Amino acid sequence: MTETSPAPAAEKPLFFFPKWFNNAWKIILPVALTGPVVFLVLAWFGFNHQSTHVGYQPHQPVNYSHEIHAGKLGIDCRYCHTDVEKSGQANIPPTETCMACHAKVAIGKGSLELIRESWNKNKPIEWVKVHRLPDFVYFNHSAHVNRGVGCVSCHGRVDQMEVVKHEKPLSMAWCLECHRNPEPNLRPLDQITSMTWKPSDSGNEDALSLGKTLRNQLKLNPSTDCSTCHR
Amino acid sequence: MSSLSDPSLSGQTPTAQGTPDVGYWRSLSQLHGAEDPNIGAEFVPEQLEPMDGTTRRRFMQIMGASVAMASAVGCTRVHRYVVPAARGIEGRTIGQTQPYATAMEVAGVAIGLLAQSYEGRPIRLDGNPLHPANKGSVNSWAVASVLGLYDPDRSQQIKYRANIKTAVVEKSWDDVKTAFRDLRTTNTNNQGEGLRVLSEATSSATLQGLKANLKAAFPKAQWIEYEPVGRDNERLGTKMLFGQPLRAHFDLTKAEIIVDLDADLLGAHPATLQYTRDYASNRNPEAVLAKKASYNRLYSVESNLSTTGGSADHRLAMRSSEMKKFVAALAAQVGVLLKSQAPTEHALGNAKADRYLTAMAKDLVANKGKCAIAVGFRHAPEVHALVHDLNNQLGNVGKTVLYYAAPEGDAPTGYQALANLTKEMADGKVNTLFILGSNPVYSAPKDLNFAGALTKVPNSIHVSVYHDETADHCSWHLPQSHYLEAWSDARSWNGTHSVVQPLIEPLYKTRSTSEVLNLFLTGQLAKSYDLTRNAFKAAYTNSTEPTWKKALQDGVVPDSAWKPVDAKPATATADNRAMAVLLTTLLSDAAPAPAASELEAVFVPDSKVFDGRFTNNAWLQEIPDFITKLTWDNAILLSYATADRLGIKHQQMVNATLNGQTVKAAVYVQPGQANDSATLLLGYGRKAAGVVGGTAVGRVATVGFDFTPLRSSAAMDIVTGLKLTPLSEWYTFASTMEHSQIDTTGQRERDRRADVLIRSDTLEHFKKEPGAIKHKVHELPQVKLFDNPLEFQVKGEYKWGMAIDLSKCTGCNACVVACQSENNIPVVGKQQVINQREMHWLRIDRYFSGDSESLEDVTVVHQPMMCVHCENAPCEQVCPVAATVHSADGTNDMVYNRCIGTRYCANNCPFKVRRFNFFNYHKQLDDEKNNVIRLTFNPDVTVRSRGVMEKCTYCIQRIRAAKIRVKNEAIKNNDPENKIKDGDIITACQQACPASAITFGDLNNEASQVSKLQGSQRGYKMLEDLNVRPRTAYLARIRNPNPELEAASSKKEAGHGHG
Repeated sequence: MTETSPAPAAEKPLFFFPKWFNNAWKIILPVALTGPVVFLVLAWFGFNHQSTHVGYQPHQPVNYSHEIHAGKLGIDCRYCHTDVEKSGQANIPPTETCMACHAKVAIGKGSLELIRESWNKNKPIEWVKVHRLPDFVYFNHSAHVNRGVGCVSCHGRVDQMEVVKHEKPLSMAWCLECHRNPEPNLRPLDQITSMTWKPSDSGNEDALSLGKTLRNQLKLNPSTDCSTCHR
Repeated sequence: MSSLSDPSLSGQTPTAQGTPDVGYWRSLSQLHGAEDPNIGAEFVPEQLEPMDGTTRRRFMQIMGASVAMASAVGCTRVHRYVVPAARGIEGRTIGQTQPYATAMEVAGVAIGLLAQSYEGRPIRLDGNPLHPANKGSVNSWAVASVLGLYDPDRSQQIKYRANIKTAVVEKSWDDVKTAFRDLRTTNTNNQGEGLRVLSEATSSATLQGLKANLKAAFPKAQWIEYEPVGRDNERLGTKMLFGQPLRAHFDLTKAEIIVDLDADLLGAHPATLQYTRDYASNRNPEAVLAKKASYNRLYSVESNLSTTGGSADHRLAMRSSEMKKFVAALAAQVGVLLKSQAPTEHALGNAKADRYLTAMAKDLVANKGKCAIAVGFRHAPEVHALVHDLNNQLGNVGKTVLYYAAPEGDAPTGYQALANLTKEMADGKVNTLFILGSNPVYSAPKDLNFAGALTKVPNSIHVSVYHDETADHCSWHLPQSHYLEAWSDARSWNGTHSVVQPLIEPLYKTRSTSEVLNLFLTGQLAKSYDLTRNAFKAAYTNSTEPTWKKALQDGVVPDSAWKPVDAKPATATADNRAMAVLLTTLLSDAAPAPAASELEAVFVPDSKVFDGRFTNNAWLQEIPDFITKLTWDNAILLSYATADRLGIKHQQMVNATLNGQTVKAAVYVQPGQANDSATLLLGYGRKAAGVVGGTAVGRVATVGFDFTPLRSSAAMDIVTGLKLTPLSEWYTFASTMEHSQIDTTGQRERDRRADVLIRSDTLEHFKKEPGAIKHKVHELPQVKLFDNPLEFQVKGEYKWGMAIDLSKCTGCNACVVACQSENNIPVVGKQQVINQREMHWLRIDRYFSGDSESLEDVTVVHQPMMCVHCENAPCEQVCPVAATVHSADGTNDMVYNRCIGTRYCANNCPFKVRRFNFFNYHKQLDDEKNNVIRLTFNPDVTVRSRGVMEKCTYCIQRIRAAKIRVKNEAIKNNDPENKIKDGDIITACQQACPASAITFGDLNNEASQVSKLQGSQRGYKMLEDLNVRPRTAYLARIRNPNPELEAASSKKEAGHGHG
């Protein structure tokens, strides 16, 4: 075979940029520089637990005020949410619970019209759910209120809410923060439903050392296994 | 002869001629050495099928739409509502299930149940631990009945048409009331001359009371009980022998030798749950080693391989039509041996059967008073008489065999009564016919032409949960309440009385049969509660409110079991002399066994859908049958030799002709099937079952084949003269037989190792050398090549583990359905099962062993297989997104939200226990009609969507619930050290198991049951040599063969035969 190596096409450049590209870099360069920043900002917002439903405060069918009942009147949470210590779910009370008092108190009040109707017609009230976890999350109330985690830790100062508001992120990262280091959020079991309790009330200035004592006492070892909450 | 003894084959890999050199195989193609294309392939080829009906373009459209939807949803929060009851419900804790005792009646026999109610809806059915018959265990029918409650195909509307030609109109209960008033007047005038009630078998006192009321109001009316699979022969046989109709009940706890003659005590018998428990309770090899207990021996003689036959220590495959001869020969042989004479040789003229018969007879005589012989209901009354006479002669009566007065009394048999009724109907003598729950148009033998006779009845009232075949032919169809919707009562096999307590108000405008009958009798729409309560007041003089409440709470009426009858052969009818006459008649070929070439047909109810009443239950349809592993189908079962002789292949369509009727059906070649015997499984080919079971009208094809046309009123169960003509058509079965094979390095290697995966031994050898089971595999030194950072370290408080006893497992499938119910496992349908995409977390691997020379003599081992929770889990190491990880307690958790569906884990799992959601199988539930099925879901378990891997979690929801509960109590009682006790956590499969073959618990606790079992001599772990360190251990199957019959065969003994 004779050697006939083709001569390199020296005239043609390997890459040919079209003319419009001379100006295109003016767009490409800023996008390339700011793009990652925009992406990062979006991702940070997206994954940040602060961007959950904090602030959600739906209008309820009945103008029930936690501020009056839990705050001013000082009714214990468990008077209405009876199953919170026994069950995974803290129940919304039946109309019967309202009528226990309101058969005698504020009988003719206009805002109670729906309650009376519900009671007389045996028709349930459709309360709007405020704190809602995804369906694949199995949070258990009894596992927390029996371990020294107070209501206020997750639900905020309900005693100051005229209308209940979603105050804490309730995101997975937020849950894990406490599961990894529960001590700052522990309180004596008799103060579970208290909205105003401070470590100093239990004669302890330092929340951490009290938490440590309680953790040892109750042998708490919060799990961070996936199956603790996801099944 | 075993091919093992052939030196040219031993130690060789299987060839086309030979058999695998060690015992176990799963299918005939495997036995015959066909290379399984699935073994060694990265993915099962069928699993790579394109997604049905979805093109790539359509897929992109859907994806695009869902992304857009997701972002739209992300912007606003959709309101969700919490709706508490207006009035609080006493004793109900929101978020927790509450158990209520109830009972389910199948063919007149109750199963005691505990229904778990979640916020007012039953979600799961467990066995009632207080019920003396099943003691907390349950069968697949009962578990799946909760799906039946929420079946959208249930009849919801009253339908009426004046005759078959007029259009159907919808009616209300008020219309029914009016119509019944007229009917009552018509029938009162002639004392109910033309009034007939055709009911399914029932043990309900409520219905018995109404029956008495009916008789009082209409003296000439008749009440007929009919079941497509009848049990009357036992009644007739005992009457022949004892002079009174009796029901036989066995106490297998006291039986050393159990002889099952086609009775299927551990499978199809109404008292199966109790028998399985009693049988398994006497199979504890450890107790035998410790000399604390004996070990029973089970003989089985049958034509089709039943659950009992699969568990038997010795099984003789024999045509059912030869049973008369066999029983007569057995009676003769036992008679001879009882007189201490030398046994007769050649009693049957068949060397194998003779040897079997003689050994069995000797065993029986040696265990007088400690043995039990049972014979199947499908056999003739004289066979029953002989068998019970044998039990009597062997001194078993009152010990292992008890008799109760037959609750059906001396009534004519169901088959006969139905034939009489049909004749009356055809002759126009019946004016009003109530059909309660039964479906005779489908199930009655076709020579009766029930449907034709029904057109001659001016007023036919059909009361049923489904608008089935019979409903189409009746003038009235009234929707019946499900048993979980109405009050009733029922009795178990030994008479224990239970209240059938409803769990929910009727979902639709339905009534119970008692309410309908009462409406007819009194014109009042009474509540079923009052009817049942009054029946109890009538039945029990002391039925005060507290005793009634107690019966409700416990689920059983205390001491309500029947008292055994002191049964002695009646002198007049059947003394020994009379029996001897019977014996000689049978022996002297008064009933000659059919010629060998003549094929017999045996009609056997299907293990999944029974006689067809569960056909529309998708859970049951999709359970792989315990022996054929068939789902969504029935078949004609033939033995390999017979199929070969007739030139029929597996999955070939044939024309089956009998009594001039022809049915086109597919053949399933089944090892263990007796030669020249065809088993025809009943319950399929329904034409008006529903979306699951098939409808003739509409789009849903019938499922399986209807063999009822081949039955005739003269020969309902066993008949000879079946002709099979092969057709050049082929059928595809959805059998899971060869699915999920545990292969380590290809098929050849798997064949070699099968014997290591399922270990078994004989009792004799085990006693001599208990360590041999563990010694099957050499303990390999665990050399560390590198420090694996992922290696699991036990650091948790608990170490969950499981032990599964193969000596006890009968393969009954209760666990499979219980798991499905507990864990929201979807049903995938026949095509997807063919594609190997079934979703059951728990499968039961069924292995045969035996050589290809005599395929009817196979032995069977069942091995329940689910995730074994390896400590060193191969799945975890290949997951790119850490979707499967370990918990501190050592459970292998599946995190559905992380899973991106690479399926690497399933591929790397040596046990093949991972299941992938190829589709969103719950999508159909979005349809408004199907929405009701959602009510079956267990709220404690996530409902998985498409693209997610799933597998057994050890019922992690139950573990977590127990942990929380125990810790709550501990803190309340100021005892923070308190731990979960052994037995506090029961997995769903363990709870269902009638044999108590499954044990779950904490391996850190040395005193726990599971630790003891895992540490026992029989305990072994699968694929130990891979160093995966499974948490589930298996306990080897210990067979108890008769040394006389087992002399030559040593291959099933443990030990791997070196040195």
